[in-house]
Amino acid sequence: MKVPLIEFKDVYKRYGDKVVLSGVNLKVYPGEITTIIGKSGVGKSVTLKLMIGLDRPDKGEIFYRGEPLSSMSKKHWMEVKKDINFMFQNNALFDSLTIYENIALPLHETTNLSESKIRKRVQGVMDALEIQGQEDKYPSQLSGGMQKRVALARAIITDPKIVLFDEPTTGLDPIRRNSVLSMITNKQKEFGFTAVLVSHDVPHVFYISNRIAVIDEGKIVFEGDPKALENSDHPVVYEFINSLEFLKNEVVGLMTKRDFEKFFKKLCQKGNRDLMIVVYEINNYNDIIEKVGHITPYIIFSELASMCRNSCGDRILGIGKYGIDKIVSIVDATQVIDIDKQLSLIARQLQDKEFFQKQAYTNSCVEFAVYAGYTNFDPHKSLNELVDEARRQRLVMGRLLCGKKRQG
Amino acid sequence: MKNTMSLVEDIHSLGRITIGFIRELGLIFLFFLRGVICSITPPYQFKKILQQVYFVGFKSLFVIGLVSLFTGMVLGLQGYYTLVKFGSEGVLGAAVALSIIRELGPVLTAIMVIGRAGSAMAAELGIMRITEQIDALETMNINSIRYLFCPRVIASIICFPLLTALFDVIGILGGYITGVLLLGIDSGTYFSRMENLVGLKDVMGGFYKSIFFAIIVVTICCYQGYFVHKRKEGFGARGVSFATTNAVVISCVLVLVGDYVLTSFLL
Repeated sequence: MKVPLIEFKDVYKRYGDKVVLSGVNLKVYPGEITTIIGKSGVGKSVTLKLMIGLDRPDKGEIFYRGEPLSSMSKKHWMEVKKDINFMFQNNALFDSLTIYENIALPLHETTNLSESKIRKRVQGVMDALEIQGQEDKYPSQLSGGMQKRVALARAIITDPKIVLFDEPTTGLDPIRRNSVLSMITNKQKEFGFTAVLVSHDVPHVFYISNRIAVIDEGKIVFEGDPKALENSDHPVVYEFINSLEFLKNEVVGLMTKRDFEKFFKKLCQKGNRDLMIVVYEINNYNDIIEKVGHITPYIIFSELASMCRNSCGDRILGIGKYGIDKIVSIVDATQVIDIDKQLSLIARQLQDKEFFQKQAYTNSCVEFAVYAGYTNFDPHKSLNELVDEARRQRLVMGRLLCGKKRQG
Repeated sequence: MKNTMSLVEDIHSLGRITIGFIRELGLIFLFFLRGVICSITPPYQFKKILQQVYFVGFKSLFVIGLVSLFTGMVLGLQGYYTLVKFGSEGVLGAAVALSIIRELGPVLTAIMVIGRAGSAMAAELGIMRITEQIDALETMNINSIRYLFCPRVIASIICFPLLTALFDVIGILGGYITGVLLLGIDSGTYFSRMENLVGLKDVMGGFYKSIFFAIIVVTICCYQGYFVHKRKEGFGARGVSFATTNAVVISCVLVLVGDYVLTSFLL
């Protein structure tokens, strides 16, 4: 069994009245990239600062190779600390020193190496990180991505065994973010250090991490590999993994599938029968995503959601996403006279929209249709059963035919 | 009953303030002590000390020269018109020299260096603290007090007496300009009286004072900047602004208070 390099056992930390960590248990294994994710202000950076000894836990213990830090002598701790380096969120480069001086500083101050050896070593790392030629510049004269590389160069110049990265990609554009993440994983493989990352870049960090820890309300709520994370049903984990989907749903005012199921259960408990389930569905969804992009289906869902609300008004009790290609709404049926009439009204409005005009697709046109079906609410049936029932009697609301005349 | 409670509350708050003040003094002393320990143990930082000597000493030369010249000239002018009433204008040289060597030299040099270099130290360390540069030093296994405070305190201990000596010489020359060149006192009288009345004790007194001020000024200014993140009044740029103001005000006050205390011991 692998022995953890760093281990947190029941660690507590508070600042004034604010409890930041309340019983954190975490393991970091050698040679791996461990990523800590969590919302802002939940104690991710504090966890890193405790790891490197910038702060001490109020309660609990941190072990380094099985040895508790609290009982370590100062001399031994200084030796241990030589193995750990830290890359700050805002880089923390010395703004009055040149890039060369920044990178060489740990060597100048903590080793007896000659200037020529230091220069050779700094040059080697700068070449590896592709920042050669910037030696005489000051940090403020470099771009954000370049500054990150300098910070990484400074963090790895002493050949540490562990490098801690505090939000290394925050504030970078997607291209630079990807290059920083790939740089971390490549250099980790090349230099063989153990990396601990704090990041918000979900799902990007999943591709470079061996282990993921999710922190929430001062505790680690998940710890495992990225595959296990995807299968986890913890609400915070789920929210993180589906953050983009959450955003899209929130923008168009749709509940998530999880929230919708909760809402459905509540209605079942009430036992109300005068309700109706209406299901809207886009077929050929994956082809649209692949050939046209993510925006078109998003626009269709957005339009559908607003049309449903407009046509049903107060009678709509809830509307949410159900799977990637369906919207389900629950409507008060006591006052609904003719659901077919309402659906045909929505269909007429839909057919005039731009996404059903083949001229809108200049590069690649994918044939698809929007369907709608409905069924009566039954508290004794599951939501899945009711959705299937509704889908069995679905009608075409609109269809895009490429190269042919569109049909209603 | 209400009055008694309010009195108790007043005593409590007075106690809290006193304890806070003493605690702060203790922390400043510990900060200084850590600096002393780092300064006398290797590795020594000759290059950084030289850089600080350049910054604290060399770059202050012009301002010290200017202030000392005019201080000496004003002393010569005021001293002449006071002494002439008693017919003792011959002792002007000694009066100017004693005032400058004993008091004005060390005090004004310290105050000028506080304004020029002390405020800069507080601001620089404060910015380094809020931008996590000091934390970065610690994570790289570099003792931040050794790296930041020690070169400054050693450089100041070297520079303050030298700057004070320069102040004294230029100040005496300033008194010479007004007393001898403008108001017509005999040049020989100006210097001979000075030679008779100014002793080594006076010069050494000024020297001790300048070293004492160097320690006070650098410790206070660096302490204010180094611990800017512990301030309750404000964080970030505002915190640095408070720290710089406090550094200047506290150092100036302590220089003047310290001057009185030292003078009373030296006389």
